Amino acid sequence: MSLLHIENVTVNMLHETILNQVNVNLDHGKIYALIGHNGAGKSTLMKTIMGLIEKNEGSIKLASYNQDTSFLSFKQQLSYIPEEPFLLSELTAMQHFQLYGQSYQMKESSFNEKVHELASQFEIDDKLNEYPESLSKGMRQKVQMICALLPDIPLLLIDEPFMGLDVYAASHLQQLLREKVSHHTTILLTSHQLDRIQDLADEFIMLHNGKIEDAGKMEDFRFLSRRSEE
Amino acid sequence: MNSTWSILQFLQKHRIQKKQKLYKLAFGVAFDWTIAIYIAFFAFFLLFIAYDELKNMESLFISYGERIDQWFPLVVIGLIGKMLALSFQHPQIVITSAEWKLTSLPFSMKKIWRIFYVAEWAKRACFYLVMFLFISVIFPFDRELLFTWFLTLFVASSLLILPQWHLFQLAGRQKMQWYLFIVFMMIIWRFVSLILDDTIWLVIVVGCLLFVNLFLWMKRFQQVDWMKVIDANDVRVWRMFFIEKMSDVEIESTQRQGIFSQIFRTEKDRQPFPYKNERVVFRRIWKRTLLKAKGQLLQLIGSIVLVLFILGSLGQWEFGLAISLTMFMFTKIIGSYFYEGLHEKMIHSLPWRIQMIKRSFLDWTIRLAVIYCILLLVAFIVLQTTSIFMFIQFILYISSLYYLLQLTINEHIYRFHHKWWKKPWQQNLIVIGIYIVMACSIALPLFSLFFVIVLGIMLQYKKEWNKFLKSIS
Repeated sequence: MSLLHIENVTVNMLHETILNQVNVNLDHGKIYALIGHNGAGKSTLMKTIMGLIEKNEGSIKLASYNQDTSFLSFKQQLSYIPEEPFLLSELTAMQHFQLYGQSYQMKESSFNEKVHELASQFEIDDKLNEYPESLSKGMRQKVQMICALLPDIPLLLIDEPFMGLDVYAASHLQQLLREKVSHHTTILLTSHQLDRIQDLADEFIMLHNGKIEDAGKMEDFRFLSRRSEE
Repeated sequence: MNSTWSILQFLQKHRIQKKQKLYKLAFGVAFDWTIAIYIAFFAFFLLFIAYDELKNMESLFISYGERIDQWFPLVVIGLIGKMLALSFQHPQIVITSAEWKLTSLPFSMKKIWRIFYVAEWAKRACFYLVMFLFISVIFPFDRELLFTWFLTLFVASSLLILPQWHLFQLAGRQKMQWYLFIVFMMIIWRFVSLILDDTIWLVIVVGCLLFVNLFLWMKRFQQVDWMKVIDANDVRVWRMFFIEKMSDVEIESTQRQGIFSQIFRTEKDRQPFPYKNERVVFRRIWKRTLLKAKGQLLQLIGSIVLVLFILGSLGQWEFGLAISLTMFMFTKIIGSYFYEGLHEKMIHSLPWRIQMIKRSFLDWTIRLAVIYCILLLVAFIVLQTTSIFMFIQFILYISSLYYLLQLTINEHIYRFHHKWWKKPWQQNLIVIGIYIVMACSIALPLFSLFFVIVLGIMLQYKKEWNKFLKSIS
């Protein structure tokens, strides 16, 4: 049985259809790349899964929890890294990690161990007591990344994971995502860096104008034509 | 300078055009032609009525005009106070991200700044001139006196541009020190104004401001936090009340330059929370949500006071009605903050440990509930004769408040969890019953004994809630 089951999901905004009858099934322990041009509906799909955007039709089930009828249990099964970090200006980096650790009910010892490991890998261990406004954009992205990487959950959603990261951090992240998958986490990510995605993802889902145009094994993925050529 | 001036004009022109388009769209949503004609018609008559009323009050204005001199120093000190308050949010020189981007082209920020500085003086000159002409035409004040007033206000407010620019750049302890120093100087000037003649006092104050301006002119580009300036100005330029209301989109600062975030952040605030005490972090988050809504909370308290005292003074039945009405307002508005807080993007993307989140929210709302109960008690003492029932009446109000608050918050939680959750009709009946009992409890004090039933309902409801918590864990 698949982990995430999206069935006939439609999202309309201001009389425009952003997602049109989207059907997706994600299996356990794989990395899925959501590919498409700007405006294809990738981030909208991510946000709809998170419940940040209300869908007009269809259903989303995650590990047998229906988003519409068991939202609180549904949310416990996933973690999300947005394209633009949304950190709270009242909390330091470490306090954000604590918020995530407590929300996912991590034990204090494993929380501390993981925070120090990830903070040193992403080279932000000297910024733990800093507020978001005193961090650069890349640093904020790293904080948001660590937050979502802390818990071991069935599904991890990442919108543009490599955006704003330096080459070392991007390579660490790639390695960490592989480790996550080896522990049966499923990852759904979007990215415009196709070369990196081709190395990382097992399968792809191509979105075009809010519809699934193609899907399959990553090695079968050919190319993404220019938007103007279509 | 000429090319800088023309590019700034170009930006300004397009900014105005964009704003015009936005207003046109918003007005299109808000009004149709029929409403617009009616409003214009009423506004036209309102102007005539206002003019007529002002003419009738001529003698009053003349007597004000004779005594207006004594307020002169206070108004100038008030301008300094206004500058101090604004220095937390507004740098006075309106350089936005659009002007900042010009620095990547061959335009100098120093030139741009200078143009905006002169523009600020020009704006003030226009504002005070228009005000002078308007007041001198409408009101029967002595024109020579009015002119002296407006000239002084223009000079003083213009000489405060640079100090505000400088104060805005400061942060933390340094800002606090300057803030306290200026407040101290304002007190001194006030005392001096009581001793000295107004003209001499004014020469001293303007002299001081001139000296400060000369001193700060040399330092105008030192310690400038351009990102902070741009962020504050972007919000100021694009925050349009009417557009925000019509589009339901609020323009917010990305950096939050509020007085609280800048000054009251201590070293302790930066330290990690005790991990085992889970409520601490959410208490901070709820504090943030409620602080963001402090304006509306004050409005709520003001409305409660008005309803309690105005309705309460009409009679016993009306006072009972006021209690029910204010409790309804209180629980619904507080419940809406819970809903809003959980819709904050970051909080929304977390799995919610709902019982802990709710308890930390209640930690804050109980403090607000105490304020409400104090207001109720004061209204009670002022408007009613105390009786032996007063104690029982208060048990009824406190238990009802607690139950209704729980019910409102839990309804939001149920609806979050289950999109199509419907409130059971029995619960609706109970809630209506409680409001009716409270409304009757003043005129018929025996009704307060229903508190026993309310407590029973609360116990039953707690069992249901625990069952729900078990089902989601």
